[in-house]
Amino acid sequence: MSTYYRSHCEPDGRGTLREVMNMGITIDKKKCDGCGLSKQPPCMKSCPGNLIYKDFSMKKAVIRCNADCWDCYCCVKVCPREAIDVVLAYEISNRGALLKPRAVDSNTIEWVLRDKQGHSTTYRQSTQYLTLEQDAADEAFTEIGEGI
Amino acid sequence: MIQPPIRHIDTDILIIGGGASGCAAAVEAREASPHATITIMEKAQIERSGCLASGINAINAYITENQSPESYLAYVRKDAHGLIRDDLVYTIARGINQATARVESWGLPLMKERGKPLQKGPRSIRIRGESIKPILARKVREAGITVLNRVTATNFILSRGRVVGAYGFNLRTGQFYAITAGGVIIATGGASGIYRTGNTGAIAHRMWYSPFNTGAGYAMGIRAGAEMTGFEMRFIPTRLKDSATPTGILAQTFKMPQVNILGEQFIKERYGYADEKRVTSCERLQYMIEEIKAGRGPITFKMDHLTAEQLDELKLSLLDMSPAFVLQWTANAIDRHEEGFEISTSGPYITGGHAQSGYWIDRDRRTTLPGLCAAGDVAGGAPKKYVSGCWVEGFIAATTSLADRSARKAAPPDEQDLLAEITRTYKPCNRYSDRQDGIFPREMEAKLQKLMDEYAGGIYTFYELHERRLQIAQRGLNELRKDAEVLLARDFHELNLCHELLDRIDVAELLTAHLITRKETRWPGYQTRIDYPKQDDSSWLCFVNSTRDPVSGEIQMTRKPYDPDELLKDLC
Repeated sequence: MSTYYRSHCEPDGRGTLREVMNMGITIDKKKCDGCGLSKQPPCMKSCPGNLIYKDFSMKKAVIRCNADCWDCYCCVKVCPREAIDVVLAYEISNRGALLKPRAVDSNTIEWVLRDKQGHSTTYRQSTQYLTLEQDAADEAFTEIGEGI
Repeated sequence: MIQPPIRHIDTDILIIGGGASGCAAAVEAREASPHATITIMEKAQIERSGCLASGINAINAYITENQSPESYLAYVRKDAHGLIRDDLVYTIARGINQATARVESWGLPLMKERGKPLQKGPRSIRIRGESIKPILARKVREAGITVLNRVTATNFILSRGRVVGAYGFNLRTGQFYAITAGGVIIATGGASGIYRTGNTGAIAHRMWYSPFNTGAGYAMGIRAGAEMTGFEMRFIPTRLKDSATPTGILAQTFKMPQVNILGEQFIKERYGYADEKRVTSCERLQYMIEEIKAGRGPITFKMDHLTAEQLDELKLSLLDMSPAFVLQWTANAIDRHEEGFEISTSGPYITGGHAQSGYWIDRDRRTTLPGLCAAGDVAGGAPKKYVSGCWVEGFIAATTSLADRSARKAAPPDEQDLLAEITRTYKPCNRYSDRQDGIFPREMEAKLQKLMDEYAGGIYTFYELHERRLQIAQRGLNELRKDAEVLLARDFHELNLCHELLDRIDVAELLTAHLITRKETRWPGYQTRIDYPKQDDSSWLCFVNSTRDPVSGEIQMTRKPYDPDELLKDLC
């Protein structure tokens, strides 16, 4: 399902699809393992816009529509494989810089900021970094929403 | 035909929306009534939903050392050009410090200096708020509250004029919910996406307010005949260009002067303010617009006085709220530009948290619909409540809702009513499976936003309003309403997009009626009437309220006299 959402994709010559027009996130297909048997990987649970779903045949997380992404970094923060990056639309941002958050422990988040020249700066921030919790509705989750 | 599984849940208190107000209300209700059943209905996942998804770096409503609830009230009244619900603002002002301390005890890290909260501006303090939502959510979980994530509300359940619950559906599974409750609290936030903003196409969601707050709570109230207030006071913030990041910390904490292309601090030099702090929020926007119109844009924040350490501290602070801007800053090497940070406008947004659009409520946060309380951005009359004010309103609404709740166990909803709502809810899915001809929500969204932008005071006309143009918008909205009958949805995510659009059409229609009604310019910038350019206290120092007839759909506009002494009676 949902191929109609990805209207602005073209092959990038490496056998993967690269979003060429839209801002939002990229999910590294080599790193993403769909969180194994999980029905709802953390990225999917954390997205405030319900924009990420799991493709069970490919065992990968997929973004429905990058133009709908708010660049909030919620999914990037929780990905256990560090497979997700925010890539801003080229029209507002030069390419080459990267910002990567990582939970050091439950009270510290670390942000690595890399500029175009490859210089990295690390910012450590005290926080209350918590993992997402399961609830009854999540456990009851089934796939009847996928396609009508 | 979709025949969704139907789940009926009965609960003592139903809270619609698990953001700042909703989470606060849930915890308060639990602490006040340990045996009550409390349910949160949430469109996303409460750990990362709504406005605070990526965090926030300040508590923007706080009584600092030299301030008092009275001085806070006076400030908000002046900033809103003399018209606010003093009773609501004052009850917020009295509770914000206590509310902040309470959330601090739940784990929110406040920045401190010699044991005291570190000030950001005259009425705000700095926090390390990256995880503000997970912290609130953890408290909600510990309190044993039932959380229905990914369930979006579609309409209230009404019984003999009383709100006794809400309908909704799971936007992944399509499951239909009928939740009946002794008391209902609406806390769904405000509305973005009514207007096309300055950012379009691939960056259309690069906006300040959450693009996923689409006015569901307003629309449900409008459809049920609740009285609404102040929609004509829209909120149009000045924000860092492209990323729409808030600018308060740059101006207040890092003292960056705001200048035009000539390097003039134009608010002082061209508009005669000896002290920039005396400018109200909407005037600040208005002067920026005038500079741009006069060809003296772009407007920027000068940053050349900042040291490398200060820039790093600024980045750290922004990582707590707008990480994408930090990425953009680095990618574009903005700090090497002579001009500094460019700012522009974002919106218009409809919100009761910064401006005053929302439900008309009493001091205890009761709406005009029996059984329904409102809190946070969806509640009107009290601008500048911000996060801490939303907590206070959540606490108050919970207390009221518990006291007012009907004791008897709720009957399941009327079968006719239930079936009608199911038909309405899944109509776009059924239409797609029947014949596939119609309009997709993305197409209609673009049309709504273009219409509102061009005729109802969007960025296209520098946010300026004229009665004739507003009438064109009304005509267009009538056509959209007819077209909405043929909306199409290919899955339940898209079905949610359809309902977000139906809600926004209802909000846009009421908003346009409000904008036409106030025949003066009360808030230049937010509500500039080209045809009535002056503030007119003799006729318009009053609230503009509205009610939509649930049967005929006709909007009734009323004026409520403004009497601050009466509002504050027995309060201060």
